[in-house]
Amino acid sequence: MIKVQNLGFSYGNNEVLKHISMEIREGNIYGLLGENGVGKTTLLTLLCGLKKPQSGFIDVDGETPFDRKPALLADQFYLADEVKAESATAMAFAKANGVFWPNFDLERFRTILEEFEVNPLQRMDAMSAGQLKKTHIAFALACHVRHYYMDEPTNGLDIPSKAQFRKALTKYTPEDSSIVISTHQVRDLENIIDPIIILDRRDVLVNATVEEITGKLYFDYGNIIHPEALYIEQTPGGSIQVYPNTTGEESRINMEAFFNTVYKHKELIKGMFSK
Amino acid sequence: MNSSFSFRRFGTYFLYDLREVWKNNSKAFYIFGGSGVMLYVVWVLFSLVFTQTWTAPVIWARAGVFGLAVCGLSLYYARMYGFLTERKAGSQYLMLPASTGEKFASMIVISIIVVPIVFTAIYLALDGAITLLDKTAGSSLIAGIGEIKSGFNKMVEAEGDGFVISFGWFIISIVISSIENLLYFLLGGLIFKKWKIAGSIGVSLLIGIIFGNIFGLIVTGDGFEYWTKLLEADPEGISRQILIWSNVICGLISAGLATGIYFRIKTIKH
Repeated sequence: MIKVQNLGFSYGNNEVLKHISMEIREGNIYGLLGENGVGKTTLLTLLCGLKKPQSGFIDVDGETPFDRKPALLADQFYLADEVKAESATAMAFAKANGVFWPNFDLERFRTILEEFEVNPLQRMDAMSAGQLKKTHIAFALACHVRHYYMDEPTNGLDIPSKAQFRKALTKYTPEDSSIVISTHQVRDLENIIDPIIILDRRDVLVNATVEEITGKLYFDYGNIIHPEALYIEQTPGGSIQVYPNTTGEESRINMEAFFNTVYKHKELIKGMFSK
Repeated sequence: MNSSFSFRRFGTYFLYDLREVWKNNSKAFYIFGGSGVMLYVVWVLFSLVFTQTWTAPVIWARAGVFGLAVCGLSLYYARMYGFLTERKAGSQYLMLPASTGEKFASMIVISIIVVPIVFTAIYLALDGAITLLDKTAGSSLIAGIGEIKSGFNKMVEAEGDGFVISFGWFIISIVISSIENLLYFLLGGLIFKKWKIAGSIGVSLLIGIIFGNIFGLIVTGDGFEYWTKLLEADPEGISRQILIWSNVICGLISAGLATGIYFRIKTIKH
């Protein structure tokens, strides 16, 4: 389990994260959402140990990530938004790097690459941005670790690749792994991310499961306008309205509408989901 | 899993690191190692153009270019592991499951032992090939070590009663100060994000100016006379002592630089 307690981080005078506390449990794919510059990438780099918290602490399975101990490094993978184009073939890259992750499976890497329609024998420095991203995603999934931190993994992927990514993520990650995905493209991952973490400047507005969200908010796709709606968005076929769920009736979450509702009524939603 | 140092993991990491260093820097190693060949070609071309004779560079010129190539290689060290300060490559390096100690040890072994040996081997092998194929080049640097030694001794004797240094001590001092230089530029490359070589040279000049002034204050006036008298009384003994101390200081500085490299790897953030 990952515990974050009173985490604080600044870039000079620009305070990005302040008093952030949360728990990340195994067996979930967390969606880390937020506007530009709220600290999503910063939080991911703090979780994986690329940065050191300036206040508070992070505990990953009893270890401090910034210590960068081999045991923890071998049980986690950080997939950066921008990945390096190695001057080697995808296969050679995987063979050379895979030896450091005890659960790495070269055959699985090859299979995922085939599913992504990337030639394993293609040089990485000759790949398109999408192919390069898919190669790194395939490598990450072939490492079979317990903690994944993925920063905008669908950036640069075309529409079929996004579907392939969703399929691969659910198929090739261990059942007990915790996956944190930072993304702007909520629609790309709408059906797989659960719980949802929404970051605001220096604050966590929501850290809740889809079940908890739909238990407290109702997503109405009808045409009848509800005056109590916290958010209304006109769509070609009608509208999406989000209002407090007072009846306990189930509804299907719309991630974008939820995100906009949260940002429109920050304090109300924060109070609604604070445990 | 051992968190600080495992020889097995170090072995795996070392081989990986070696491959990466070779993959990313082999062109530079060939250029520095092949600088003797470049000198040979330029020398022969110039002699053909200006004197219409085929003349190969003399052993002293080839030894001098070897020294320059060592200096060039030292400067290049600021780039060899400089990728650590880049976000993409640096993050990948830091997230690789090996301990800081293993990454540091591999970096030091490659930088202080492997690369200098490979560079020297390439340089000397090519120098040997030149002298084998072109008899006007005279003896190779390895075969001509005696010639270099006697030339060096003549130069020292010509200095009279001043600083006396044996060829053996000279070589030891060169090796120790070269290690210090390599570590200095290696650390510079890990600290500066941009202008790695220029930044390292700039700091080196600044340190030189500061210590030059401090040293100047110590050895001027009565202090200078004191040292001159001491040197005149026992040139060999005092020279040896100065050399020993300078080597010890160089060794301590190298240890300090290596410690700096270790902590830079340990604390670098992206």
